[in-house]
Amino acid sequence: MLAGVAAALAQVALGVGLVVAGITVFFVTAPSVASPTTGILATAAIAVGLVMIFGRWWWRLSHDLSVERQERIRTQEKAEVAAHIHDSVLQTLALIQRNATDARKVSTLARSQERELRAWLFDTPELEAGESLAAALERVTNEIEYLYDVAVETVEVGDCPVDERLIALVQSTREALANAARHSGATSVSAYLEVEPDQVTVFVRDRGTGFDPDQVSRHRRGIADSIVGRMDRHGGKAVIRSEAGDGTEVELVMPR
Amino acid sequence: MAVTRPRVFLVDDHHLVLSGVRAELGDAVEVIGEASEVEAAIEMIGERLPDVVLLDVHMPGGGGRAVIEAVGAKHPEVKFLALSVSDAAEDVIGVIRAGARGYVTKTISGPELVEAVVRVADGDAVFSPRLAGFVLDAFAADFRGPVDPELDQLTVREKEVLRHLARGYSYKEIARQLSISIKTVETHASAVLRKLQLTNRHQLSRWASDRRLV
Repeated sequence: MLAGVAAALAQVALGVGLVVAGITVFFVTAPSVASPTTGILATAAIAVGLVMIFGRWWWRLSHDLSVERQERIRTQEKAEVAAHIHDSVLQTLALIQRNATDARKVSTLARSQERELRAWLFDTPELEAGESLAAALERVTNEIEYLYDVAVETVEVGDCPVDERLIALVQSTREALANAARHSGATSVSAYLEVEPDQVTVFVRDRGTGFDPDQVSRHRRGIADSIVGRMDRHGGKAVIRSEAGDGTEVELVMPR
Repeated sequence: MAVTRPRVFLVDDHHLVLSGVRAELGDAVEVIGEASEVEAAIEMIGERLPDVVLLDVHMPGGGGRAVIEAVGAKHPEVKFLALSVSDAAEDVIGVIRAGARGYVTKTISGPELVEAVVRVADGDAVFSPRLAGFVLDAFAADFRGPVDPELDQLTVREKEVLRHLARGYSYKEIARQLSISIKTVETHASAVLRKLQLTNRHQLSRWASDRRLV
């Protein structure tokens, strides 16, 4: 440690020496265009000196920046994992609790969750890049209809292949549908997908009980992480409009 | 002029559907007859002249479209509302272009169906979310060739109304959302229906048949 500090000090001192020497040469010899060699040497000495003085700091700064970037990516990945676990495993556990007396339903839920979780862990995502967005959305709405016993009226305008961001959009849509199915009390939910040249928009709407978005418990991570956070992380936007007694509409916009 | 208790005629080749629809409509309308075949329907509608014919899109012998075309030629005052489980765009666009004033799916609730019948009886258009989506899709497709803006393009406001319909909003909710009167919403919907019936977009038929293959 001490040796490191001594080396650093020696390096800075050497750098300062070179810079001072270089500047002195300029003053003393006043190099001309006719004999440029001394000028070039002096300039080189100043440059090397500056690198010796500031090189370490610069290197450390860029190193810190890249560490910070890695940290940010890790945090994002963690949030992504948390959102996925919330959507899948936690949801299923909640469903199992609610259907605890129905042995057959419980085992169906457990089995389908196991399949889904394995597929996700072993890197065969249920939504694959390149598949049709409309088809992906239909699969999700079918799943919601099956899980929660609600009717989802789906209207699609346009279509395109899904990429990573659109997969996030579909997952957010799924969460919005699941929220509507579980909390609104409505027997049907509307889902509207529109693909435009510059963006993809999804509206999920129910005519159920509605809620005050500011009053939702911090523990309910569904809206914060799985809808708003997920859309944010992928460069999109989520707007939730709801009023007690007047239903809820979730608007999801993802630029293309 | 508002028709308070419209006289309705039902056409469907499934008797179960006929009795189901009858039950859902209840006393809000007067059901003056029903038919389960295209030929019989054309004849009876011509005799009884109902305000609104509620008819299935799919039927042997030409379907709802054949009924609309045959009756419409002689009795243009009879209005048609298509009722279907079919989601094929080609069929839906087909009955509208034949002259139906609207399209609803059989999953519609009783009160909503009554509202739709009354609206059609009043001469307005009825769009299910799905029909609204089909129309947006059809008019969004690239259109090469001469464009008649009166018929081949939707206005910004019309698109906005259609988008709300596709999102599941009722006319009343749209009126509130856009701060316009229900009458204005109805006017926009009727204008869209007219464009759908009269546009020369050749894409419309090709687009619809493309959708069918999917």
